[in-house]
Amino acid sequence: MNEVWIRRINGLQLFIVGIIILIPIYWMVGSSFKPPADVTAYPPKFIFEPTLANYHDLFSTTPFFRYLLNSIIVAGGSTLLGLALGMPAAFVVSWSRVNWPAVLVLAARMAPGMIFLLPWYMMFREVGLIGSHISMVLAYSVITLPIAIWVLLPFFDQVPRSILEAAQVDGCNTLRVLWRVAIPMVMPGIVVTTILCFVFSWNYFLFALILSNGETKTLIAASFNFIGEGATNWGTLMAAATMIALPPLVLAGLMQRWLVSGLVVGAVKG
Amino acid sequence: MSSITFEKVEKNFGEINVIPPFDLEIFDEELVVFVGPSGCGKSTLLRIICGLETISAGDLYIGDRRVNDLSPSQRDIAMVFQDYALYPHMTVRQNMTFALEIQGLGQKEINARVDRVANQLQIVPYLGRRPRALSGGQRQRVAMGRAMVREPRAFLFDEPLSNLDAKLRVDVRTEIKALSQSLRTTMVFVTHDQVEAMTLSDRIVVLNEGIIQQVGTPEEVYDTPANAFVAGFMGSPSMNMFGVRREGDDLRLQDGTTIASDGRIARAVATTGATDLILGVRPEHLSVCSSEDADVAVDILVVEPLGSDTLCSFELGNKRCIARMDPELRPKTGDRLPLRINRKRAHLFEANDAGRCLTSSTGG
Repeated sequence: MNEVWIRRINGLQLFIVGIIILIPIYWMVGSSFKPPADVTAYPPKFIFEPTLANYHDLFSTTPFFRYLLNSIIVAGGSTLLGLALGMPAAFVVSWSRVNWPAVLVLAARMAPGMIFLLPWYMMFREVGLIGSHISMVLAYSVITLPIAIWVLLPFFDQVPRSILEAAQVDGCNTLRVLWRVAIPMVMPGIVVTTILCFVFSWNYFLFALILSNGETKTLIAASFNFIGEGATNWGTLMAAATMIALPPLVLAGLMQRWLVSGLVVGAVKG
Repeated sequence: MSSITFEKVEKNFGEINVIPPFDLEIFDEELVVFVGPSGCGKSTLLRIICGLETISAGDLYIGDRRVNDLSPSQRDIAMVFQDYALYPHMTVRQNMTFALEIQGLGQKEINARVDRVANQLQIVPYLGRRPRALSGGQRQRVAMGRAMVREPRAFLFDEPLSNLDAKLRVDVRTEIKALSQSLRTTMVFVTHDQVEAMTLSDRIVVLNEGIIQQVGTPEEVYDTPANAFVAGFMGSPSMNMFGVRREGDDLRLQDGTTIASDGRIARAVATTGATDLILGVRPEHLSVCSSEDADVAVDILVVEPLGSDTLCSFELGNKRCIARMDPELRPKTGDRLPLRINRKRAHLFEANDAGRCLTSSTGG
């Protein structure tokens, strides 16, 4: 097959994948600007008069910014916790070449979240932490810790061992080798890990639904309120979904170059 | 005092014993080179000294202090790595100050040391650069500078010249030699290049499979090799080795050529009852002579002019051999040349695994 055809097939694949990814986003953003009657119209209306009514409804009827703050606290806190535990863990796994702890953490991540929820719920209830940010940050670290370890591992693997040994000979203990030498060398990996941890915990629904209360509800859990038993306010739900999706999308867009290169490292070495 | 003493030091990796009980004393201010083929354990020994490898048995002393259980950071040893191992996120100056900051030295002292060493190594213009903006030779200097600013008890060099091109390697080798003479600090240098070993060292430790084959000055190792391994490893081109059969006092090559024995070789032959031996002759100890004086006449197969010498390859005793000749002779491929073996410099070895040299102990 000649190169022209390979390029055409690649282009077609990209187009199909792009459509599959972009249509739901288009649908979500478009619906958020549609008048309530047009949101559920059949056949769907592609030409409509855009309105901010759904956003007005969202901001006036819900404590949107409190939910936003909760999401930032929970996603940010669990990202920091995941990094704080994941960086040394990945470093030691890479250094010692003993992989089983990382595999164990990954296995925990593969398990359905529901498995963790019941024991957590009981434990947090015992210590009076149900509905607190702390309980959610701890719970969400189950998502961020494996990401941190597995994304950072190939980055640490790429650090020449001799450089770490040179630091030891220069007088560093293990913690100092990590802090002064290894971490600065894997900074692109840490940026990628931060983004991924933040996005994954930002978007994770189940833990917040069970562990939060009215005060600490995150955006993603609060959006569930718009789905009623009888009538669902689709326009406001789409406005909320758009607002929820915005921070991760902006973050990913800003860091796109690092994100792609970081994920490629993971793909090749991991 | 920063002598380094190995007392029955052993190293095992799992079930595999890579360093059998190893005894050696490296004296204060001495430059010792560990040389041997890949996998002979020389780098492992270096890593044992600096604490990057643990010891499976035995004791290691730096000065009077037993250091078996000390971490690398506690040993006050500096090491120059094969790939330089500079910190890529730090400038040259930061690379050099890093260890000093950890030691807790004052800024004034740190600056004084860095400036002094940078001047000595002529790296002042690069102090603000990152390692990626330096050439291989400059990186090499920075790696040495990083070690030197620490003023450690001993320097370790792990094949630091192997990543340099041939010309730079010679220049840096000379610099290291000059440094070792001016710094007067114990140095251990690891290389597989016997020319580096010969040119740099006060003493050479020739290793094979973790076992010391010979320890001695470059001249001792070259002129009186302890066994066939040392004789074959040291010297470039390698020593010519011929399987010979003893016939009375004389030696007969596999192709039937008889080499008349003289007093020294005869004395060596007399020390053993073995019939099969190995005759070792360095390329420079084969000389062109008149037909009457010749031990052998050979057909030149390849001529390699080096400028200062000319290397001529030929076959003798069913083996490819090399003779180092005066370029004035202008030998040509296909020439038939009469050669004489310099018996005062030839060696006789046992033809077993140990390959013990029989001439080293019998004198010239």
